[in-house]
Amino acid sequence: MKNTILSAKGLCKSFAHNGVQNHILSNLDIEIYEGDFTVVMGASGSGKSTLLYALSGMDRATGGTVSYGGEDIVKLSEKKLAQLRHKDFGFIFQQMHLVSNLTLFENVAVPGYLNKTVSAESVNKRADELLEKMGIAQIKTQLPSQCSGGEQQRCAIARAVINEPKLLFADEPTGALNRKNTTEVLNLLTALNNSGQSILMVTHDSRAALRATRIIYIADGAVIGDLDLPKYTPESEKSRETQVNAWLSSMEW
Amino acid sequence: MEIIRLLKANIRHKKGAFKSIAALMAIIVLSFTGTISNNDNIDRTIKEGQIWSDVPDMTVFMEMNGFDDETVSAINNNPDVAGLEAVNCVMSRNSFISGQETYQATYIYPESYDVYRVFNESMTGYIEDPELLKEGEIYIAYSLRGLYDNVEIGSEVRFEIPSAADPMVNDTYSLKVKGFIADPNFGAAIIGTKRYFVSEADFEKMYGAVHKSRSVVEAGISFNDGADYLQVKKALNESCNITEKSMLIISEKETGDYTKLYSDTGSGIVVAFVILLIVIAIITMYHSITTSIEMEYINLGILKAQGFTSWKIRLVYILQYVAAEIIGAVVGLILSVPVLFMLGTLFQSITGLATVHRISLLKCVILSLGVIAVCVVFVITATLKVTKISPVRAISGGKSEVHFDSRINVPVKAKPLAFFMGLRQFTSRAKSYIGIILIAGLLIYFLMSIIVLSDRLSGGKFMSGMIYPNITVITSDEFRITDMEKFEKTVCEIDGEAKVMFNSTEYMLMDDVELFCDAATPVELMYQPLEGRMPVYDNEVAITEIVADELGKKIGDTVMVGGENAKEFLITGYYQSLSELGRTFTMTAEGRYRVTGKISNCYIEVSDLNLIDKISEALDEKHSSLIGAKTLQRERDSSADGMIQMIDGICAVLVIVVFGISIAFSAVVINMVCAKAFTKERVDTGILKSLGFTSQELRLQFSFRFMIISAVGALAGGIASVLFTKPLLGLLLRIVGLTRIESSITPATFIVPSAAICASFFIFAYIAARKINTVEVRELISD
Repeated sequence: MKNTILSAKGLCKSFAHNGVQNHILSNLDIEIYEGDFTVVMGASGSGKSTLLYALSGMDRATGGTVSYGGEDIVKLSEKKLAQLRHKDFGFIFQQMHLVSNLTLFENVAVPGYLNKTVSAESVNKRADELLEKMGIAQIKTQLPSQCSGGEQQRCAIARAVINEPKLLFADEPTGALNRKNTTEVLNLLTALNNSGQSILMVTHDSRAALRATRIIYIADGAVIGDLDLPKYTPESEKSRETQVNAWLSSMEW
Repeated sequence: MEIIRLLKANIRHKKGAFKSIAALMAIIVLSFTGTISNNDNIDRTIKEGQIWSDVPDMTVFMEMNGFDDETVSAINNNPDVAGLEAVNCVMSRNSFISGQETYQATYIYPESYDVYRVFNESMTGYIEDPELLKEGEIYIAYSLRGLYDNVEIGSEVRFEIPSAADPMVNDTYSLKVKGFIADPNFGAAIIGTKRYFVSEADFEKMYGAVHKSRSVVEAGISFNDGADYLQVKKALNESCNITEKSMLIISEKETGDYTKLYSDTGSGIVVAFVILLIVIAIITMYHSITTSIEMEYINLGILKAQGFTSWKIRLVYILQYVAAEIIGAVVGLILSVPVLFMLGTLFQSITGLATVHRISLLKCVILSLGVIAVCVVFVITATLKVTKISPVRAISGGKSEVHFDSRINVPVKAKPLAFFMGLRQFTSRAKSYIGIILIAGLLIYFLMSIIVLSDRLSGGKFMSGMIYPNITVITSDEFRITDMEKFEKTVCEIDGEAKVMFNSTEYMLMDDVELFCDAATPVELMYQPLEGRMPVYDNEVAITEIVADELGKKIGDTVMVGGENAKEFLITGYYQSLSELGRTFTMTAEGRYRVTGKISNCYIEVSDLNLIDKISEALDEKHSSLIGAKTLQRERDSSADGMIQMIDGICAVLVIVVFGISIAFSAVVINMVCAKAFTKERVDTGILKSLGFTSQELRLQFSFRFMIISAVGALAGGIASVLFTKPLLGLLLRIVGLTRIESSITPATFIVPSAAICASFFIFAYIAARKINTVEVRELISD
């Protein structure tokens, strides 16, 4: 029996544009389980990123509830949401979004400094370890503009996990990367998941979806498919590819 | 047409920058309109007053015996003299207002001497037909209200004047103030001569009863057109030795100059300040335009691709800034109306004349247009960047901002995180903040200079006469120069710490130029040397640097002092004095005796007020024949305090106004710069929010960044102040006679303005960064 880490009920998100309401998510129910590498897939404009932001508290849903730790994060104050972002959730953006005037090391360490229960020395040590793990320790004093896209994304992953989040959100983390960097980033995420990190990732890349232990497919703002998979191993990649592609085809992918 | 459309769109989208430029311009225009109009109003009031009061070209006060036939005929026979009008008056050396002894030379006239106007009850204008004074009533100058405490209608004015029957006995005349008058010739607070007006009956009584030494003639001498005051005076000195016979000779121009002394000094300071504000406004505009071009690189590229020339785009910027400046100028002109009213009221207590509150519209509009023209030149320069925008480069991704590593970057520490983040935001783009550093530095430099100036002028530090006499002895005709020592010995036997000074002032010729001489023994009780030393022997003088420049003399040179019996004196040092706008020299009382044969009066400041009577009795007992008259002051002379208070008040107003304007200016500048920085850094703000920073924390980072910038500016301003405050103030204060300002920059002089500017940068940055609240992390989503 899996433990639910995050759940949403009747989730709605709509935007008004030129006086017309666009319903991106409508009455969506979803549960995310602890330890899973959950991948959300869907066609472009299906609302997958909107779902990710609504679930992570980066954006507020216009209806429904998002429960985390017994609280509805839709109703949290800005202060509590900020606490949630630096203590419990980690986030990886498609465009990396590193702070441009901080070095790679500082980009990783600064969110750690927000956690008042951990000493600065511990944060620095963990940042060094993470940069080492991500293979970018040798360039840690460089600014993002001096690094490649892959290096930046690895730094963004290190940043996202500096506070040992309960749940790591990733919004198309390989979307802006070349093939080599994509594989490296996916390997890192898989390793993190293997070490017990819960991950919720949005992607439209079926190769990235192979790393999932669960794939959720959404269309028109609603969940239309849910596939459980065993843990990823490099050896299982071929057989998973066949299974996932077949399933995606059934979803009209 | 397309320009107008673009202009409208630009103003609509950049309301903040538009309003800020308008606000800066409003402050600048308000500052110079207030100053210039106030100066013009004072000038106008003085000139009109001199006309209705019929102020003569030269006014001379003489004792009756000096105003003899020889003098009268010498004056009348001078080819430059058009007329001579003599009026008898009574001089009082011991006058009291509301119980306080006055320090001004006092002359009493009958009310029929129609040279004054009576203020109305609200002190805003004059009464057309004032009632005739009754016996026991008196009109006094309006400025005396500010110089002494509790002076109002009904207050007592008392004169103690030696009697004709026995000059050793003073007759007392007590009168009640009936009203306050405007006296365009001698009514200003700064002028040490005051005219009082009593009823015909009281004047007759007084004039008939006072000792002949107190019967004085005020001679008004009018010149033919084109005559030069100094030339006429020189000629009269040659023909009748007029300077030596007179107690005071003064020209219409001199009294006018004294009357507007403070407004002239104040306007000099404000002009320097306005220039500084214009520089700041230009830096701000330059920064705003270049940042705006950087941020709208793509849009401008698109405009170019659609056929807009660089010049058309630049024209939009120019028109936008000109429109903001015109609106600001109009607002500044409107706001100057109440400011002028306040300034007029403030300066009325100094000039003693009912001041009008008119705006010098034409002059100020022309000046405003001049400021706008200067700004346009800088806008044209700042928009040069537009010519370098290539449509292709702009459309294919624009000019993205790249942060480079900086040598001044220091590692971001956990505590205090907001400070270190702010510091990094500054150091990683330090170059783009040079303008703001310059602005903070200039403001702090000026504030420090104003504090030094205020410190130099306040508390009476600049005033001559560092002695507050408790006993004043008017020496008798029997007093000889050798008696000075005896007097001092008698006083010091009772009070070893008493200050005893022999002092007299009069106009004397130095190398044929009439100057004010302040003779004293010991001179150090009056003045301290700037260079060289003060006179010790009877053949030595010290001069001001203004006199040194005028006469072309320096320390070690000799000068001839006196008229017919001129004696040679050695210049031993320079000093400074506000008396006569610095046209003054000093020598010992013995030196004065060597030239004029006159003995000075004795002033004694006791160390213990309880010893006043004992010293007074001892002087009477041992030297009664040497004492002409004697007055005792049992408290510190409050008249000097009144003057000091007035100047302290003006200094305080000046400091408050300059601080206020500086803080208002920094508010506008910070608001404008923060708005640009915020727009530029919107993405970074979103990222930091996504990492768990609250809006409050991000606003603090913003505030710390600008506080750090202002602290760097403060350092630069402090260094500039150490280097340049002295010459700036020397330049500003030379017009009042102070040639050297000790730039006593203490830690407080630096800390107070720096703290004020840093705090205002911090607070205004925090307020301006309120838009951070509106940033949503959702903006980072690319669905």
